[in-house]
Amino acid sequence: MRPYVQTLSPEEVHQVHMASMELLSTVGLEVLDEVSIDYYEQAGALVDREKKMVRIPVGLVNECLAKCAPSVTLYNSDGTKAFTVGGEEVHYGTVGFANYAKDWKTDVIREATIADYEDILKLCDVLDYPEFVLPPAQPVDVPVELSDRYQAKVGFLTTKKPLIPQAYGAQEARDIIKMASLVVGGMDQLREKPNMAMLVTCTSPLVVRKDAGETVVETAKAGVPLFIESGPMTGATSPATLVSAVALANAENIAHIVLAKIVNPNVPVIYASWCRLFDMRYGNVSLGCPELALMRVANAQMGKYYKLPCGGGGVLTDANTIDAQLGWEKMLTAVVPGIGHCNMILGMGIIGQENTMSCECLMMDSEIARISQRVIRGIAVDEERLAVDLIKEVGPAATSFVSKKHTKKFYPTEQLLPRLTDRSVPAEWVKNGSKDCGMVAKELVEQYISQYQKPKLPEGIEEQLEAAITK
Amino acid sequence: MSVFTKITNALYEGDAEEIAVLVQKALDEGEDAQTIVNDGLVAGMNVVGADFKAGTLFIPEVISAAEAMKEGLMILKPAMAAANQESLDTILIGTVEGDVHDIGKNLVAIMFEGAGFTVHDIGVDNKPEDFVKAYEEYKPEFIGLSALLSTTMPAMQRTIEAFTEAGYRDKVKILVGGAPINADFAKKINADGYAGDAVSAVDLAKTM
Repeated sequence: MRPYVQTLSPEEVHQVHMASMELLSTVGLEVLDEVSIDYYEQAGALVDREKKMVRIPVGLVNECLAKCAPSVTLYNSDGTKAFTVGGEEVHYGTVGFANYAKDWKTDVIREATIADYEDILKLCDVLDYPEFVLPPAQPVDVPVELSDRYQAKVGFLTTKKPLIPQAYGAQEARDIIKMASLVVGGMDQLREKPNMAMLVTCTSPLVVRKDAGETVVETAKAGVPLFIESGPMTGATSPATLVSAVALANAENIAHIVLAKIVNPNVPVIYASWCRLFDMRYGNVSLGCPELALMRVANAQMGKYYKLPCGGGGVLTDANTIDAQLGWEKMLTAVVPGIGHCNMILGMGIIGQENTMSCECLMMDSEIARISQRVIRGIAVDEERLAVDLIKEVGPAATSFVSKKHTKKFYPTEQLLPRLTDRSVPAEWVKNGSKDCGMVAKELVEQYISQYQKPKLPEGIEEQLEAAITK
Repeated sequence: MSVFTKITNALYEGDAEEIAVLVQKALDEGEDAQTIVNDGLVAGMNVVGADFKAGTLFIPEVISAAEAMKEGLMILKPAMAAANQESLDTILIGTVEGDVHDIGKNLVAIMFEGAGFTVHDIGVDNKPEDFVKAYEEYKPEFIGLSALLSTTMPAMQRTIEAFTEAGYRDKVKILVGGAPINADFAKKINADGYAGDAVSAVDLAKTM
């Protein structure tokens, strides 16, 4: 059986749901985009134009959620299936928009350039994990106002894996969607086999920003999947209790999903969350904490309560350097949401207050994702695996099962084969150079990046993507 | 236990009601307002600041203490005005252009209020000219610039340059802060100082 963890009982899930419904219907959200307010009003929400407040009745929530599909399939840019988001499936990907890069050859931390962004994208493309890519870097050598679009352009050119770009408003959303359609061969192809989901972040508490409203509307109109993500910080942008952050995020997500469904009842939506801690000692966000892991499990439960594909931040750390703290925090926030069946977990490749991208770290995160997936897979049970006959055959006090055919058959799937993990005996380890995992990670980065091959893309695509950027 | 010690303890506990009672009692017993401030309230706040820096007291407790301090200062204000005693300075604070993050800024504002400063908080996403206009209105001794995004750090430089252009630069002390900021950056953009947290910010302003 695959292990499955929950942190809210069915009654507690219902309580969270009721709290969110109360927030949506009696408090409402501040909606800063007029066009979005129009859509909400037309659909039956209670609108106060002067205060820009929109209250969403429970009936409208139910109506919109009923139009949501329980899964979304994302594709590579060549049209092959990447993975399905929903149910018990768990997939790991990157996160980012980092302004800084840790150079994996020199260890120097400097402002991230397009070249750094391309390096980490190449690594993403070659490795098994990540399975999808939210742009890890926000390169400083492109104009800030065009950054999202260049991140998408370079992303589409460098990796075939599904992209999770962000757009700041209607024009950016249109440009990025246009780019995706050029890569896959048209809008129909993009709707049928999307190689992207548009990231929309919500502001807590209870705000639909102008750019968020615009992006939801444009993306919904285009029929491209939406990755809607709310991330209150407990004690700062939500009350200090974990469950209230989950309820608040729930309300904010649903508000954006309702808007999307009003615009286009068929648009695929993914319910995601970045619920995190506001650390009371440092006065800073904390991402590598056990509370994040717990909230993510609760977020996934809420998403599943509404039968929505879900996702959110995980594989995260507060560490400023690549050390044991990074290891334990990333492992904790990777595996726990994983066994909570959070369908898309994003956080790979980044350290240092979520603002430094690192190929070395990505390599470690890849191992962490592999390990997490092994835990998620659980223990398989059947007659052959119980192997009673084999034990009988071998008999008591036997010396070993190592040479048995059964062993050769099963060990590759029963045991995760280490890639970065060292298990050598001490003498061997010393003989091999007494390397810590950071050093091994760097060697593997070198090895994997050299295997990179550009994805097959339409002729002249680079010029077409550049032309799609409205300047 | 002297009334000053009681005040210091109540401040550390963040007990605003008790502070109000004790401060009034001290005044009624003939204690000098400025002495109550220095030996009671400020003395308590110093311990709060030290323990926060040492990591044994956390932000919500610091905020409670600052609010208790504010309560005490409000009661002492008429007495101090009557005796023409020193009032602390004014600080204008805001997040710079393009940045809407304000949690850190709000903590700093609370701490300055708690320290007896008059605080004018002009909110988020302020253009350089917004800061200049606000300076002309409030004539603060200090200005605090806040940014969380590394992409809005250049706006800090532009804001400081706007003050130079307007001829106000040497009339005011400009402090900068925020997660991506550091002392080197502050020096590079010709700020007067940098602080890494709300408690240090107040300490720094007091030395200037």
